[in-house]
Amino acid sequence: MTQAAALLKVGALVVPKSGSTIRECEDAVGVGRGCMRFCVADGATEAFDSRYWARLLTKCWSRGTSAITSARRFEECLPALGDRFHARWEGKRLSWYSEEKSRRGAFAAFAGLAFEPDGPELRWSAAVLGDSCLFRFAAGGMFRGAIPDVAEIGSHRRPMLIPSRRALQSDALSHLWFGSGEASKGDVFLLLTDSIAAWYARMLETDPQLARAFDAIVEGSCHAEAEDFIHGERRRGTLRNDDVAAVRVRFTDDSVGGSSFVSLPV
Amino acid sequence: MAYGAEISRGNPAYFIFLLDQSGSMADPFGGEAIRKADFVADAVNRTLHDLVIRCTKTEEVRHYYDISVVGYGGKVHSALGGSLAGRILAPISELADSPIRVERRNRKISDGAGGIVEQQISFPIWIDPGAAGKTPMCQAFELAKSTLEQWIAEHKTSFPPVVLHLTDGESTDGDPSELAEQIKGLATQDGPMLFLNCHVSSDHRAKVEYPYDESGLSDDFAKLLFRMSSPLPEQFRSAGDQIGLHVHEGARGCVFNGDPVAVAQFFDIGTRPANLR
Repeated sequence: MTQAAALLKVGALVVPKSGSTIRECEDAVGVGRGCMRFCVADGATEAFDSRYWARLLTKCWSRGTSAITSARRFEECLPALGDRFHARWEGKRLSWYSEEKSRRGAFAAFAGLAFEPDGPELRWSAAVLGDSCLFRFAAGGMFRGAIPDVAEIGSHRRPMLIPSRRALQSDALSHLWFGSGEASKGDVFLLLTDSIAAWYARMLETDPQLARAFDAIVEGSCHAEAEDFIHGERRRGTLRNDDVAAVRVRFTDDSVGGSSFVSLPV
Repeated sequence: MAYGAEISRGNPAYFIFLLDQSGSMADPFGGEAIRKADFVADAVNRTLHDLVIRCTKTEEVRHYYDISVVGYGGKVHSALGGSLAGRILAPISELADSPIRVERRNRKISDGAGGIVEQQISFPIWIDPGAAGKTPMCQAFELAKSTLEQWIAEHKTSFPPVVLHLTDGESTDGDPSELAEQIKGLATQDGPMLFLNCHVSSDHRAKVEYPYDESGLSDDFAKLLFRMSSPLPEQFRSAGDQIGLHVHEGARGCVFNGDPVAVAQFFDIGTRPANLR
């Protein structure tokens, strides 16, 4: 791990919908600590094998070697990834409905974040498509902004998603949001999939303490605590019953340890 | 809030297709060389196909929906064929594996680069066309009502059942209004069930789609269908908006003098509750 990477404290969690198992969860996180690349992806419930597509996207991003700061750069790696997804099913004998569904391919929302050293500081860049989100905070918890903008979060009934089919990718990628800037010590970056992002945006407005409590749980990567918290919010009716994926990255003063690659769920 | 229930394997939704299969359904439809009965059977098979696809998770079809297809023409019966013949209700997961046959058909799709390509797809057939006898609408409503009562007793928290009724003419076994009111009075904890009616016509008089009052309806049968139909919840109206129909707040799930396009849209809008888990 590089010196810069050791300054990033990273927490991540994935919690499936109530009534589903972790193996049915279509949300995934990618944590590449060594290369300082992080992401969440949310496979579309109604698409084919979206869980696998979400996992492929998170693996690809979190093991990448350079920041993807334009649709063109994204487009360079996506076709091969889509082909890899479809190769998994080619030649297999499928029922009529699996064959039909696989023909349409998979779709996923995605939010990726990458850091590069910039002197003693870091430079961040992000790419977001669909209803997954990136929230940014300065030291002390001051909200710095979100991608997409907070007003957009939760507003799309049919968000544009990353398709596995080559023929559909160019059009989808033209809707990618990009962002970049300098990261300072104490800055916090939070990647969230759709339902928890909508909840979090609301809580920042209405109950910041609850948002802080969620931050602490993600940073601690404590699965049991996360499940209790999320089930509690679902019971309260404040959080839609949906898969949840979250990655929180804090740029610290001190070196912290950790594994090199994580891609959940497994 | 009504019509917000999550649809899951433990909490499935229920669609009943009630299809007029009387002798007049053998008439040509919309000026085309196709009978009404053939077009309707095709539209229902396509809708069932789309529901199965919606429930397909990789290699498994999840039990998100229960399905009934009831035909009435001479007699009232389950219109499902093959191994499901005689079954009034089938889970979508079982339906997926039990078509009468699977045909190969051509479909035109976008190539993603501004062009159109033709693709061969599987087209399962669950119901064959029917067109014989009179129009025992009341008997069909009786069967729907008893089936719904039983289903609701077993699924109290589910999304309310949706009945999609399609006919080309008036009942020959009495006035169905009272039965329609009784059906509309059934409810789960998520709201009253939805009774949607589509009248299909062989002539070219102007169609009326999803009216919000009956003042513009031309005849008594149109007014009867309007009164029998439930107001459309927001997500159904928004499904209409998505396919280019402007569906007013308060609009009823009712189509009169429907042409082939209106029939296809009726099944599309009526099967949209999609809060799948």
